[in-house]
Amino acid sequence: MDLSWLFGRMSLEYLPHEPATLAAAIGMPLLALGAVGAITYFKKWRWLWKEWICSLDAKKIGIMYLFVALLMLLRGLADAAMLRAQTAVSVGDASGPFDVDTFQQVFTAHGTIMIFFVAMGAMFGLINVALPLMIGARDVAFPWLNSVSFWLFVVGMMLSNVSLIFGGFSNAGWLGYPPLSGLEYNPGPGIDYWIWSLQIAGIGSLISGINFFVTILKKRAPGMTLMKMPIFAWSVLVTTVLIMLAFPILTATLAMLSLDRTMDMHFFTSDGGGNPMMYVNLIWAWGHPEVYILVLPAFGIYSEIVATFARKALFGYKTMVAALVAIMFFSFVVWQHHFFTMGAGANVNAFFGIMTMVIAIPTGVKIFNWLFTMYRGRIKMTASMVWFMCFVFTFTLGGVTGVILAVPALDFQVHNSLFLVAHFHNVIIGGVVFGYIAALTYWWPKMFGFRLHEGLGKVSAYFWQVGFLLAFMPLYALGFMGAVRRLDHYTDPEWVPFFIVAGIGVVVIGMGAVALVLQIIYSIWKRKTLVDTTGDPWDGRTLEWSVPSPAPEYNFKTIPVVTHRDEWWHHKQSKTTQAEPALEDIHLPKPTSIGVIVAVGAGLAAFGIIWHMWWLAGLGTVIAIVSIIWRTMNDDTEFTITAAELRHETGAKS
Amino acid sequence: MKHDNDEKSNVASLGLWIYLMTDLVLFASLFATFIVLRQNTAGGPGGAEIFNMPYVLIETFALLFSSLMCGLALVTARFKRRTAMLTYLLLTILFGAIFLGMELAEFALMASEGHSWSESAFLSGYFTLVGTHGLHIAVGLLWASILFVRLLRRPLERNGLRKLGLFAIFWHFLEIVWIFIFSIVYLVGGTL
Amino acid sequence: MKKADTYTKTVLTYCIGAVVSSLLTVIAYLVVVNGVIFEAVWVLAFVMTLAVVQLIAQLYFFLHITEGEKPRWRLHALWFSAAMILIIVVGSIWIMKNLDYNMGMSPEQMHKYMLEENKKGF
Repeated sequence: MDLSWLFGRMSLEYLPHEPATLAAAIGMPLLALGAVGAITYFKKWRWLWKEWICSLDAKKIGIMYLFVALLMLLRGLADAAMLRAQTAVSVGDASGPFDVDTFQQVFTAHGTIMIFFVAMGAMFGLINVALPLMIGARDVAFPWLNSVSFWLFVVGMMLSNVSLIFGGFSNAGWLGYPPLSGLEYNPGPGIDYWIWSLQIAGIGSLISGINFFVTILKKRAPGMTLMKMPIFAWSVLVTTVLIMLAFPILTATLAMLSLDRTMDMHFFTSDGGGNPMMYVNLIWAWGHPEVYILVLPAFGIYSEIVATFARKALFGYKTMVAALVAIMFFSFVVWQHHFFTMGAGANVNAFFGIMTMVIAIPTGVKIFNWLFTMYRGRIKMTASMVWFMCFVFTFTLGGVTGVILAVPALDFQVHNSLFLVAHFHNVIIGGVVFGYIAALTYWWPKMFGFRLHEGLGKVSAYFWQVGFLLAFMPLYALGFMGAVRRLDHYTDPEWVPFFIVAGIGVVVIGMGAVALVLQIIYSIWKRKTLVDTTGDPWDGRTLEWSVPSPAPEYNFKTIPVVTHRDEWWHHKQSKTTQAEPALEDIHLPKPTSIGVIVAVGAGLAAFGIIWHMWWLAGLGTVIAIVSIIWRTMNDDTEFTITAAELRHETGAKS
Repeated sequence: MKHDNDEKSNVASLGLWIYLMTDLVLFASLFATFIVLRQNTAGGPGGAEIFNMPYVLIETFALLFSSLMCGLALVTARFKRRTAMLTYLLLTILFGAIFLGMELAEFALMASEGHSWSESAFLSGYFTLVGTHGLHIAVGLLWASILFVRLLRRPLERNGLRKLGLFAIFWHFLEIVWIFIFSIVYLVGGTL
Repeated sequence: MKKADTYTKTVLTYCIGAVVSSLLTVIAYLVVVNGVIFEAVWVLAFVMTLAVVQLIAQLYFFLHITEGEKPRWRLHALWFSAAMILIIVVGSIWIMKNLDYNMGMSPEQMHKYMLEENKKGF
């Protein structure tokens, strides 16, 4: 009986044999087993299932996103450490600890994981935790889709990690250019793991974009016009527009690459009339908006943090909104600057080069407005503010090198060199990483009811700042000297000191990450001394600080009526005692497992396609579709908290 | 409770519309690729050689008629005319299925003549763009069928009407995408 | 009765939309299939114009895009998406065509060259 169809193209040759990969392939499942063991020992399965996995509460989903993002940050940093260990050693005749194929998989995994699972994950986590509270809503517009998005994100993450154990990951960089990523040059499962990991996570992101967009348009508290919204909400609104317009391009492009690979099509092949440059064009039409998707919420976060800790309204609110909208428009007309060198004539290069330089202007306006907010404010230098100060310095530096790259003639010298690598790490670390860590610190008390330890937070920031400089300033120099990116071996011995300093930099960044983890662990241990009793630990300005910490499931006992920007600050300053509005029944979505099941179905389908196990691909698809239909046929999806129960709660509190 | 339901309906309708905008971008990416790769026939046939224009015209009218039936199903639903609504919905599904059937037959004919998607970039683009639209149609037919059963059992109840409204938006959107496939892929691509 | 009037009016809207769409489809079809217009660029312009008109007709008659309370988010989302799509599609075509810039051939020469290369199949 021929059972080869059951296992598709699986074979034992796909088990890892390289030491580092083998270590990860054994270590990761052991860690997972450890977690499973701990949960079993403490008898927490029912709690985990009901309170977290099946939850449709945006706050809980947000915390889960952040947890996964933090875990993936550690994985991404481990990948970075491996890369720098290699380049510090592998010069001239010496060879580094990793072979070429492993090195390529590591830099591919590093980029993919950092962008899709750390940055996007942290972003959605923070938006889930803070946005509904901030706009006076109870939850997002589509709570069940929120759950689906999260679990699709987790499945995408797991596909990337499972590849380590069986099959190997892509070796074609975080964007997987064909023809290298095509069937002819990469017939194995690695590229397919990468494609489906991104495809699934990408669909989750798209759904979230739609969800948050409709939430902001339709679920704001009465009286909160768009121009009275906190600026973070504006940054989320603009970001969701970018997500909704950009991610379908990624979906289509990855689908076409997959069709080339599985159905022998010729979109991007070197024969049959295919054109690999069309892939490059499309992937960057997505890719450029993507980096603005990552950074704009961080800008929104900085606006909130600076205004709160300078104890002063944000300078130039209207200009800040205009700047966000301008950046949104311009991020759609610059994408060709990622491939200035690939054959286009001077007129195309000039157009996109000029547009790229223009986008620096609204960004600069924002930096000035933050500084103007600080001027004559009564600044409280908390850990969040320290992260902000590090951002101003670091991001401005990175932005300036971006303007250098925007000039096509200059770009021809440094395209795909380590100068480029230094630039994008500069803006991502300075802008995105520092911003999201600052936000974590800022909103932590609202999530958990206690603050993070200030001192350890500042220590982490200093390590990250110094570590960043050590790790990436040498790379600017190396880029100018001609060092190309993604090489596992360099020949010029004069470059060695630079690579060694960069290696030390990664270690210092690692210490920053350790400090961050220590900060979290220590704060949990000492949570009773760090407790937030009022719900407003920072004397904040926006509505999330008007509810207890951690926020109750229903967010607000009664939806507030908004009359001013920074409504909570206004309420505290005006000191008027308003009569307590009458309590009404609250309807919240019931927890459900259908979100997880849909995602699991999608994951099984992807796994089936990757390994050519077509029966599994079909089965997974059917599970996903049937679950969705099942959910749409369910009319009983809410539960009620009665006004009486709410009154009882108030009584218990006082 | 009525206010709640109206609001829910509003929010769901906006959400679907916004999703359709993202679907437009997806189709646009496929259109852009088709246009760029249109002339890359790798020695094989171009549009003029393999498109059956009268057949495609009939196909187009089938889908247009289905779209009209869908609109009428929604109108009769709003005016509480139960039997008319069910009839129109059934006709929507029938003509949608005729469209899809004709399309699949077209594909099968091409395949039997040896022209598949692996022959050239042009054919890859053609099959993928038209096939993606067909996949959306298939999903729509599944949706409409489930909706039909629901409306058969629980006619004119608020949730069912709301869902019919959402389906109608989706179905009209697919008709609009077809206008551009007909124009760009078949009319322009079949002659120029 | 007022209700019957509204019913008839609404049914009429859909029927008018269907008739207009059919006419536009048939006109485009007949003109192109019978080779009435010679230059490629005018065929393209003609077909696209009719397509856009049919789009607007269906948006109005089938999707009732102009109805609804202000702010008309659906309309705003639509024109904005359309603008971005135009940028992406036109931009992509412009860039991809421009990649032949340094080949030192006229468009006709380039077209012939690509046809030859395509036939070779590398």
